[in-house]
Amino acid sequence: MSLFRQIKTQINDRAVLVSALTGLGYSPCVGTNLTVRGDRRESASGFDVVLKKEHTNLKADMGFKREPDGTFTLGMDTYVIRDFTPQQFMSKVKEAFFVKKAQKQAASVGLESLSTQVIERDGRKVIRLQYVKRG
Amino acid sequence: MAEQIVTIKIDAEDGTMTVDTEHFHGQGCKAVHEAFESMGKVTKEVLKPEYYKASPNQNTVRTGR
Repeated sequence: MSLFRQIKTQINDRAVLVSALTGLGYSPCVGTNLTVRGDRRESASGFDVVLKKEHTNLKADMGFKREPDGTFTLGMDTYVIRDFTPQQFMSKVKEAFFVKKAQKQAASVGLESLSTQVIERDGRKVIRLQYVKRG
Repeated sequence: MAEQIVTIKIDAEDGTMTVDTEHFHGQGCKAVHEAFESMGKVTKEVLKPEYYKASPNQNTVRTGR
């Protein structure tokens, strides 16, 4: 049996997504029209970034597919991956993605990192980054 | 010259972001904001009074030497 779920994300930069996943300790496979394996023979194709079950030690793959609007959708079989929900996984990935994306943009205008903090504000997690312009 | 600091706050849930620049003037401020605009759609922009001040370098008087 398989319950393949897809979740739309705000992630819109493949290179930064790969960097964020790598930073979280994953070994992402990058390509085009990659297959994500679910339970047994169930699978889905069309993915651009895949976390293979051999690398994650989960019972199925997870993958990210680029949508026509440039954002990525997460796909995973939640029938066999029960270690966490797609939302819990995406919460971690989004946090890492936003930090990496901001770092990339900051570097493009010559800003140097001063600090990175994750704070709670009104029950919500907020990432606070500070940069300085030198010279 | 005061240190030019950029503070970014990103809501980890929905990606809403604020970019606050301190002691940046005119084009320098614009360049920083443009760099971060690619992370999402700008919904609000507030220009501080210092944005309109000339940068110290722009006030340099050339003597012709």
